[in-house]
Amino acid sequence: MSKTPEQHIREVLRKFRTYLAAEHFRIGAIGALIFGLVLLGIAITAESLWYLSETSRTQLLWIIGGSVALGLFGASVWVGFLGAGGSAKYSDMSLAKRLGQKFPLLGDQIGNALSLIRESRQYHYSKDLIQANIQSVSEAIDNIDPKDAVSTDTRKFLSKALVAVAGFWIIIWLPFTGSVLDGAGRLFHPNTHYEIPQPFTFEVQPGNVQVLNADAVDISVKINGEIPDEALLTITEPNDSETIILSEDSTGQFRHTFSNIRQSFAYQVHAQSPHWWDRWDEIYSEKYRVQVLSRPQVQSLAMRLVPPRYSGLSPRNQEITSTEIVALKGTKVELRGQTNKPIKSAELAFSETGNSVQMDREETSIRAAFTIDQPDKFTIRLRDHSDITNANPAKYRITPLSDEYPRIEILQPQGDVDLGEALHIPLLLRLQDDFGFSRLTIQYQVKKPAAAEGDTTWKSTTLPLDQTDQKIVEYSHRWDLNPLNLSPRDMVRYRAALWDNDQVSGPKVSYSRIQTARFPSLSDMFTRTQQQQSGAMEDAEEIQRTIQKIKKQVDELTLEMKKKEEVNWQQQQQAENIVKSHEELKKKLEEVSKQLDQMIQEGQKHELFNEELAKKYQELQQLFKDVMTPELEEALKKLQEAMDKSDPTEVRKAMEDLQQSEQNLSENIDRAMELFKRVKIEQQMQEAVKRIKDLADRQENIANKADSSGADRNALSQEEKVAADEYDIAEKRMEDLAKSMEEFPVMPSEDMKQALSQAKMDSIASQMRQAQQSFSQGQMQQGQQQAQQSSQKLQNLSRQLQQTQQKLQQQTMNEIMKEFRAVLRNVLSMSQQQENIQQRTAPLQGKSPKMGELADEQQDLQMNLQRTVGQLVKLSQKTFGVNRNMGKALGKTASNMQNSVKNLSDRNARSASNSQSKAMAALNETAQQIMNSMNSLQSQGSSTGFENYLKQMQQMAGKQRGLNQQSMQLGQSNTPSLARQKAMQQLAQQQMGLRQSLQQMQESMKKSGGGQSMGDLRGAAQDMEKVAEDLRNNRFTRETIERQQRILSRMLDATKSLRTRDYSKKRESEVGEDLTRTGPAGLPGDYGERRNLLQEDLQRALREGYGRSYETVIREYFNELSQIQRAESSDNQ
Amino acid sequence: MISKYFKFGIGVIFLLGMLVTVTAQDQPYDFAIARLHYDGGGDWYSDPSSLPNLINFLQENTDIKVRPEEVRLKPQDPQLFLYPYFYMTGHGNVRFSESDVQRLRRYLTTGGFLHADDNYGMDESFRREMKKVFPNKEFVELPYDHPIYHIKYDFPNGLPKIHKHDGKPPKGFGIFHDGRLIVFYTIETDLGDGWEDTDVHNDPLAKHEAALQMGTNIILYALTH
Repeated sequence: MSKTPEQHIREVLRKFRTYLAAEHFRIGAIGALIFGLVLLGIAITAESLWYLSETSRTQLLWIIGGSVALGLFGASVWVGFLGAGGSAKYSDMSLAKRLGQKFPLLGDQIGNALSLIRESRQYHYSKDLIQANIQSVSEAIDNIDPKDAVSTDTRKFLSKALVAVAGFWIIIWLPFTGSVLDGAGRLFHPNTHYEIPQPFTFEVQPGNVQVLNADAVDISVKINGEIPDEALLTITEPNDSETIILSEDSTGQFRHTFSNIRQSFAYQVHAQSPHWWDRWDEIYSEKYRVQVLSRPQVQSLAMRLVPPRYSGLSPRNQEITSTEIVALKGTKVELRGQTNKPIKSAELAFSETGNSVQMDREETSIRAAFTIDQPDKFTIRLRDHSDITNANPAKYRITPLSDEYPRIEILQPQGDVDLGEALHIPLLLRLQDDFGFSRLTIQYQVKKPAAAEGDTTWKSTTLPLDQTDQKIVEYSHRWDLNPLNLSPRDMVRYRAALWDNDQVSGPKVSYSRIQTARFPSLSDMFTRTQQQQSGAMEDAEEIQRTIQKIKKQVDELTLEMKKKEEVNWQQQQQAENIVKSHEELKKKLEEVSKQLDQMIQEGQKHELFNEELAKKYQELQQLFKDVMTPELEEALKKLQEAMDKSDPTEVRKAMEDLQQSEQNLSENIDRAMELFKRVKIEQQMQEAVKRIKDLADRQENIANKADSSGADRNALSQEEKVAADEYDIAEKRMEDLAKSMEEFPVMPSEDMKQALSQAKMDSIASQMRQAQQSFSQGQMQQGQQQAQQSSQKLQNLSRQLQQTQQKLQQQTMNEIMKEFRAVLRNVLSMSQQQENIQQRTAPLQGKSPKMGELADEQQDLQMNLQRTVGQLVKLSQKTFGVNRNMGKALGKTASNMQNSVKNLSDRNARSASNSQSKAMAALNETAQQIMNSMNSLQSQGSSTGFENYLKQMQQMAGKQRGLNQQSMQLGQSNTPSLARQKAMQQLAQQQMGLRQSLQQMQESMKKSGGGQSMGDLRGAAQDMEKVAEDLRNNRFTRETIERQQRILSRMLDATKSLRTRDYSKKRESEVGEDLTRTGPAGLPGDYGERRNLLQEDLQRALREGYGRSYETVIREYFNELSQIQRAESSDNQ
Repeated sequence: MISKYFKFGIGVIFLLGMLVTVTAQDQPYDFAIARLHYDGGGDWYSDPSSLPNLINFLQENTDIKVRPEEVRLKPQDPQLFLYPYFYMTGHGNVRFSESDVQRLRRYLTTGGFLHADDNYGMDESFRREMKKVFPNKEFVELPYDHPIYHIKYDFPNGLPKIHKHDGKPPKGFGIFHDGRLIVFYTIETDLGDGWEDTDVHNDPLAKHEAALQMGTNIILYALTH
């Protein structure tokens, strides 16, 4: 079918459009290609240079491909759009115009034709015309080729550009053809990984490695290739990582050291590219691993210290954190621990001794024990099954503590002592140790006076020790030295020795200081007593003289003062001096009292005189204390007060009072001196008896020794010499005694002289010297005979002396009793007379003339009383039996008699009668006192008094001592059992015998009223029964020993209580009965605390504002007053 | 659940109590009896079983933790001031030197306490020596209503009569300083003998008990005044 012109035009236009579209497409395609080529060139270049990653390559390819594809697609779409006439620019009209421009001949014809076509409907133009136009146009366009209207310039340009770009890349790439081709190859294999060629590689040593805990590893990195500026080391641990910059050494290697590696880790060396254009970012070495192998180690350790049993210390656990083990030597150390892994072996390695102790092990448990012996150090060495050992094990230091030496101290006696008659030393020891004791002994050496050196070996006696686990003990023990068979003048050096209870190193011993105990001879003791007595006597005589002197001064001064009203300064001074003299006198009296006290103590300790004599010395001591009476003190005080007041009248009065008191003072000292002389004689008599008796016994002893075989002639000679010397002294003393007795007619001085004379005739002294010579010459038999004879003569002399002593006692007693009876008779007679006077006075009334007569009678009676008082005063110088109470009673009598006289003179019968009654009562009281004294004196003189009991007790104590010793020996011996049993039975019988004797003695004493003195012996009797029972049952235990010691102690205590001066005879340990009594109402307001008035006065005086010199005087004055006050207070006690 | 916690709490309290008790038992003693060792020849050490018995009695009947052994000290001993209570007794002579006097005076006036018990025979010398220590103080007899007779055990009639002595009523004398009783001196009673083992003097148990009770009173009074 043919086409219409319109269709033809449109077709031509369509063709034109199609050509245009095709051209556009070609342009677009070329453009896309150019773009693609550029991108491709860039991509290839980049790949060549930088070795892009797969991702990058892929992306680039996608970009390139995508861009090209997109360009092509875009071009296609555009072409299609154009072809569809979608663009106004490429509409028919526009195309027509473009054709018209291209083909000027056409001009606007095509456009016009299109317009006509489009608008023909609108405008009512001729269709034929229109058609003709269109036809002409259609014919016109038949001659054109629309293709010619399509410009190809752009396409040509772009083609050239394409070529240019291609050429550009070729030129750029030409020098690098290889790498470009490689790069292109890599680019077009985007999913293939290509290693970036690295400029260097790392060679790392040691690489993977296993190390032990705490070991070190050295890392060295060698760079193969180009050396980077820096290398880094990254360490990767489980929870951490770290990067270190490695440093290059001189060899060009990079190094690093890992030290003290505790856990496994990985490490890797790497380097970063220094430039952004480098094809590599970071180059890594391989990743290596350092594996830490664990060493065996002790994870936990428990240590228990078990001290040695003897120490009494409790086991304890050692502090885990402490490596110091400080414990007593012998302590067992027990170790238990846990390790971190099973181990093959474990040991304790001691560094000082080099020893080792294998530990028990089980899996991860380890156990061992050792004993502390010396200072050392140890470590625990472990080895696991890989033979890996533990590193740096803890070092434990062992410091053993030593068991200290015990300490022993003798608390009593302090210093050297003289042994008493009982020959025992009451020891008080202090024992100390850190852990306890095991043994205690007394060690001693005996030194005889004759021996040059004495025994140098230490003998010992073991003491019972109970409290062995105590740390400090005060131990008392009565050490009986009788078994040492001491002789007088022997000296015992002794010390205490104490062993501790150290069972590890063995008991250690310490010693106390060495002390000595001397067994003084009788002669020595008597000599000392004599010296003490002489000293006291001299001082007392001095005091007597002083008192006489003072009395004279007082008398003279009193007389002077009476002559004048005034008391001048000189007299005042004299009065002051008198007061001072009394103070000095008081001190001297105290001194004498002390001397007597010491003498008495020693005398009693060594049994130098009996109970009675001791009592007399005590009373004498009291007399000296009482010489200065309270009245005298009062008189002195008043005198001082009067002088202070400077009142002449008072001073005169005080002096008169003092004068009276001085008389008493004089009488007191005279009495004391007289009694002192008598007591001294009595003592000397006892001394003589004892000395001679002792010498007699010793002579017999010498004779017995001389008779025995093996007698030491030198020792006997020495003994004889000593005895002879002592006899000379005794003889001298007896001569002095005889002389002393002459002063007292009643004393048997002639008997004494006779005894002496007989002794001289017997030539006792020379015989003893002969015996001494015989012994020294070895003539034992002769010496023995001479000693025997001397003994007999001494026995005779002893008997004579005893008789003289008895006579002395008896005659003295008789004299005293006689005088007492005389005084008593007088007193009773006066009492009777007084009663008579009183009976006649009582009924009198008013001014009866009989009163005068009665007053005279009373006065006579008063004078009689004074005579009786004088008798009593005289008697008081012979006996202690005249006591103060008698004086008081007589004083009362005198006072009442005086009152009676006065009242009778005043015609006051009633008062007189009253006074007379009182006087009579006082006389009766005096009589009672006298009778009591007489009774007391008589009972003291009785030979059945305490003396006998004392002797019995001493004998029993001696027997008990012997029994104790025998028991001890038997207990410790290895005697066959039958013989031992028999011996025990005998000892049991002896013990029961002693018990019976004790019981009998106690009953006897009770009857005589003195049983209470030995109250403690009840316990002794019970102990005796128990000891006897033990012995009967063949049992001898520590308890038995202690009972026996207790019995002896009680006996000795009882002996002491019978004789010791400080025990009153009235000591009662009888159970007391409760006594109901109304107690005091309350406490005094001042609680007995006297205000110190003197102090207050002193302070008041000082506040008066005197000058310094006056203040000094004031203080001195008050100090002296204070001393006087203190002295008064002590006297009033 | 609550009951479980309650039981646990009780258990903890019990354990703590045990711990305190054990710890307390490990503590050293609170008090020690000191015996005065004086010069003069008197038997200061007499009645050896008296103080051990008194110590036991104190331990059993009071809360005081007493040192099991007596301490023996002289006035010159440096440790004198460590002991608040001293006991002295004897039958015989007491003598204090001048330095003893000064130390005793200082000890007693600065808080110390002395109980002196006449074992029969100590009276004269003890009074004489105490006069040297306190010239301006007198012994005053304590009335029966004094706290020392009632602080733990009641003694409405004063001191118990343990031993006969002179057959006189027992008396307790005191020396005071600033109103405080510093010396308590007992006579005609013999408390020390009463404290001894009953078989020593064959005292009836009632006397022994009374003596210990009075001894306890004295110590308690001394420690609390």
